[in-house]
Amino acid sequence: MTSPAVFSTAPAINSPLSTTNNRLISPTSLACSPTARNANNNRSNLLHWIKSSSSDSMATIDGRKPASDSEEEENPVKIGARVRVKVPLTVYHIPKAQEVELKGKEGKIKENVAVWKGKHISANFPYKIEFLEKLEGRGNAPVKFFVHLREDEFDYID
Amino acid sequence: MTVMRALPATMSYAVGFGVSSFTAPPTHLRSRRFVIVKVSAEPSDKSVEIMRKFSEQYARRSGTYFCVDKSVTSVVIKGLADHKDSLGAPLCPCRHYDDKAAEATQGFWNCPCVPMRERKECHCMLFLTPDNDFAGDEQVISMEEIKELTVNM
Repeated sequence: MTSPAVFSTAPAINSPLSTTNNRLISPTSLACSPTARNANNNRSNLLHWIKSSSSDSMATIDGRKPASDSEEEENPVKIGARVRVKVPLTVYHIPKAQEVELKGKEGKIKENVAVWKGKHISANFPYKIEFLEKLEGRGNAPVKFFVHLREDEFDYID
Repeated sequence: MTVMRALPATMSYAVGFGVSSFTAPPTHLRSRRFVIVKVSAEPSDKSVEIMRKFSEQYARRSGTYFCVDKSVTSVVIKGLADHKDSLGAPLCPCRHYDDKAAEATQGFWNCPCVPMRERKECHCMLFLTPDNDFAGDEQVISMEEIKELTVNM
């Protein structure tokens, strides 16, 4: 509920402030931005939101320092490692090949996309694996392609 | 200095001056100029049209279908348009990000995101494979539908 009087004193505010549905539809509300998530009229909520969004960058800079050391340790160890896919997985993005089943195929780790220019990226399949395989419908020469995988979808080949 | 932020349409708020949420600020403060910072607002019609066309074309190309409930499709399309306006790239609107600008430049979550491109997994329920319980049989959505279905958002 909002009072019209509040809005009349600040005409520059965008007028369509709806009082009805404050939530996104459920499929999309799973991981929505903080601005849409807070639905209360509460002033303390607003201040908290303003503080948290302005201190977001501070928090992530501070919070990332201890984590980045362990990430930097992981990357040089794992990049270039040979791996084998251990879960049934079909990919559809390879040109001129409709579906490619990856289980059992071997490749090597090309990069970790979760860290980009020192910043943390929220990718859920952070390992970009390079494969070089013969595919049906692509002739005799092996095709090079990349697939993004999660840590638990492949095993290291020692 | 008093700063008021224009929050998205789903939020209602009041800047308090030690008063309850529903009263106007005292008269001597009303004459002050308020600095408005738009955090997010309605996406531009042009961007919505671009993302609408993109969604139709990509659904056709990938053999996926829109949700039986087209309001889901509409909200996602509007969310994509909003990110395109604010970040320059249509970042997935159904996720939370620490650093949106970095994510938009890096590109994993730029629609069509990597999970969609590689595995045809769209957790926004914008592009649904035919075997999905919620998949409709349409790969089209009109601007009127989008506007109608998102009228109070």
